[in-house]
Amino acid sequence: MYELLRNMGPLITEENPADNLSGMWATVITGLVVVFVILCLLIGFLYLLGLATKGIDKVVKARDDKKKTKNAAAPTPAVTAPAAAAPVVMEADEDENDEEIIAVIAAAIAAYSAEDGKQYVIKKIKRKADKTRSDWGSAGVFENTRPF
Amino acid sequence: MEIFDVFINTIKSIIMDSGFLNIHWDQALMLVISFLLMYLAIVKKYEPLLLLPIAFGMMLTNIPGAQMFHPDFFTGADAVANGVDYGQVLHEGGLLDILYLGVKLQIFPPLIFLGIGCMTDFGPLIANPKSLLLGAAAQAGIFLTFLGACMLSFTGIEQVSFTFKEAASIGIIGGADGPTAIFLTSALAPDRMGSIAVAAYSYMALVPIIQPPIMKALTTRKERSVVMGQLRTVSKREKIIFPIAVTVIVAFIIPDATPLVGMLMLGNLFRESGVVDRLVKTAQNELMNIITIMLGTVVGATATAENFLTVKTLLIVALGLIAFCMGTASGVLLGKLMYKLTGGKVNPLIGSAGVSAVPMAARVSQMVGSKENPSNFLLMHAMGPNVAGVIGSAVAAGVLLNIFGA
Repeated sequence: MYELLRNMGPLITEENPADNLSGMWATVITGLVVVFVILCLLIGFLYLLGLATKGIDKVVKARDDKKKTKNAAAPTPAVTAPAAAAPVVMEADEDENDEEIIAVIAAAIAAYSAEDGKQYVIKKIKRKADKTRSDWGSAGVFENTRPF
Repeated sequence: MEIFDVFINTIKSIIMDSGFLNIHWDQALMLVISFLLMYLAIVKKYEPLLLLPIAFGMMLTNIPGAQMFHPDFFTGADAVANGVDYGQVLHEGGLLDILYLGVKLQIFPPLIFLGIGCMTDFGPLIANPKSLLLGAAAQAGIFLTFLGACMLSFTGIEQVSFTFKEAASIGIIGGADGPTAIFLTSALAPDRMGSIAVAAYSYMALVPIIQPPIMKALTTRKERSVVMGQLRTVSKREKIIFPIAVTVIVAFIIPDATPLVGMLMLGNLFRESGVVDRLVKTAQNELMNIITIMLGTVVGATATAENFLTVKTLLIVALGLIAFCMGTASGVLLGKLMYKLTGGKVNPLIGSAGVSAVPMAARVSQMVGSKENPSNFLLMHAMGPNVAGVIGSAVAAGVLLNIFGA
């Protein structure tokens, strides 16, 4: 098979398209088909990658939860739970469990709490399910994504 | 008296060798064109980072007697028959001849892609893989324009006929990706480098003017107003695996696309790995800027009067515009199809971003969408097809190189 393909000869040897009408059409069809096939393969791969990552994240999360419950059961010296004015613990929704976002929100609240002297603890982070954005909101997002 | 004679003869020699006495009308016209391009770059800000060095290179190469660039070394009869004599280039060539080796040997475009990879966030594409289809659809402009350029050869008029290789290089303008166009043209039609590069970069700058009318003509108000759902968060793990996997998949199928796709993905891996910040900074700033200066100047230098002032240049400019329009239209049309198939969840405007031109084309999708619905934010959705277009045009260039490059 390899030899057969190898010996098929050059693809298009003519210089002038008028001398090779079928070569012209073949190029268009081959080009479009190959580009679509390769990008479709990438689509398939990205879906698989998404699924695999979700699976891995679930396993990692389950392991972390297990560790946490184990640690909670064991008597440990309390390292401090800052008395909270408006209490709580990190608990993000499954699909919003992005450590970077949590870190950013925590940092913003820490900066805010430094100003008013109170201590806050994040209990839950939930995305607000609004479909539309106010003009101020749009302006803010636009400003932040302008580099793109 | 002898001193006076030497002085007079020297002055006479300087005057005889000066550009004022040796200039031809076509060189003068090329100088005027270069001034016009400089005006567009500086005053109108049309892709100034590349158009300015291109225009200046064009000016340098057309100054009579300066001998800054020798096209005969690369495209003369000897070079075509026996291949480029690199020894001659190094011994007899000047600055621009030696810099041109970076184009001829296809070194500069992949290095530009390295910088682009460092600056590109493929997150929107990974979050919504379907946008790759839009990136593929927009490449239809490349092949349809190739077809159009080939058709001209059926007229039998030599002045308007293009060879297969020239037609392929013209078609790639539709990919809206300057480095890819230069990469392919340097391999297939180096004679046409100047006109194709100028056309490609000019149209990239004109994306905000060219695309909106086509996008509006092909979509309804209802379609343009579609608010798309928020994209999922993409994990760091996915972003690191993506460039490695894309390189392996694309390079295994189309090895000819490897220089472009490979360097694009290397840059992206630098960025996403988070462990080589210094390399990222260098690749996307200093290296990219140095290559841009060299690439732009030398590409402009290839636009000599005899190569540029032809009917074919006008046709290339016209076909380049057609390529852009067709790429935009095919992206929007596939977007419309996706709109129908998903029950109105996809805004067809993001399809036009499938022609690469990162990030200008995505901004245009955002701009047109926000005119219908000011609270609609399509930018990140359009970035998916936009970066998919970069991969798509590199793959298309690889396919054309595979067919005609041998």
